[in-house]
Amino acid sequence: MAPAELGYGLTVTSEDAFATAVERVKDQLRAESFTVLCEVDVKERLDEALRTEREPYMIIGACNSTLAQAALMSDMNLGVFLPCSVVVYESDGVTHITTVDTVELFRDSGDGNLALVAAEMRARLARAIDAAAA
Amino acid sequence: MSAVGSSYTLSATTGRPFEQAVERVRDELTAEGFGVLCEIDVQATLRKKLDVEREPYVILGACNPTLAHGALAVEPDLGTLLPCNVVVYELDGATHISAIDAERMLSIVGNEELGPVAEEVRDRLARVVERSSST
Repeated sequence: MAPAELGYGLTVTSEDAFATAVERVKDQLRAESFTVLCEVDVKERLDEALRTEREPYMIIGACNSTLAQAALMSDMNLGVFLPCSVVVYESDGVTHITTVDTVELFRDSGDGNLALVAAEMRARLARAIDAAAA
Repeated sequence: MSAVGSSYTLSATTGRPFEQAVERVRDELTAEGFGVLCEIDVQATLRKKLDVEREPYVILGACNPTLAHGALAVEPDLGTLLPCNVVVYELDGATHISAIDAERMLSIVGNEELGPVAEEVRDRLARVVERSSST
């Protein structure tokens, strides 16, 4: 099933437990030639800072070097949108996997080359989350 | 409205060398209540992967826990647009500092409840960029 569109992200649900889903997402990102550059454990960070008790939530920062280089060639400031974030979180017992939608993010750029880069990023990220949830 | 257009960043240039500018940005982020959750050396990453030689470029992923918590409460998938990035890079002898314009970026989400958080993040990051680049 194709991921659902949020207007800024693409999302699927998974029957895997949270930790398994995180591993599968990382594997599938690598299969689509992304390197995982950072992992932010949102639950740990926010629980520690705010004394909350959140459900599990992880942000995975993924970078496809070729596409990143092409994006930065279009506009040096584009690093503010990199790496591409894919999140895995649990909510009421359901595991969700959502990727940023680079096509929506860059829609108004008016830059044809960047639009192609954004489309390629989005296609790879969509396949990765789809495969991770299958 | 999508995020990239005429202006999706809050930007400034500084006469400071790259390394000093990165330190200043880190300090100012801390002063505005942001933790730096990740730091990506773009120059080193692309050199390793693509064997290309770029000028120094770093991405600092910043998060203000209170504001992030508030934003995720009204938009659970918002983590795809987090952390808020500030980049520092050298280009043609000048050091550039750019932060994401959170108000503009979050406008693509279309959730009005995010308005106050977006404005608060934008204001704080604007102060970070301004103070990091001032003499």
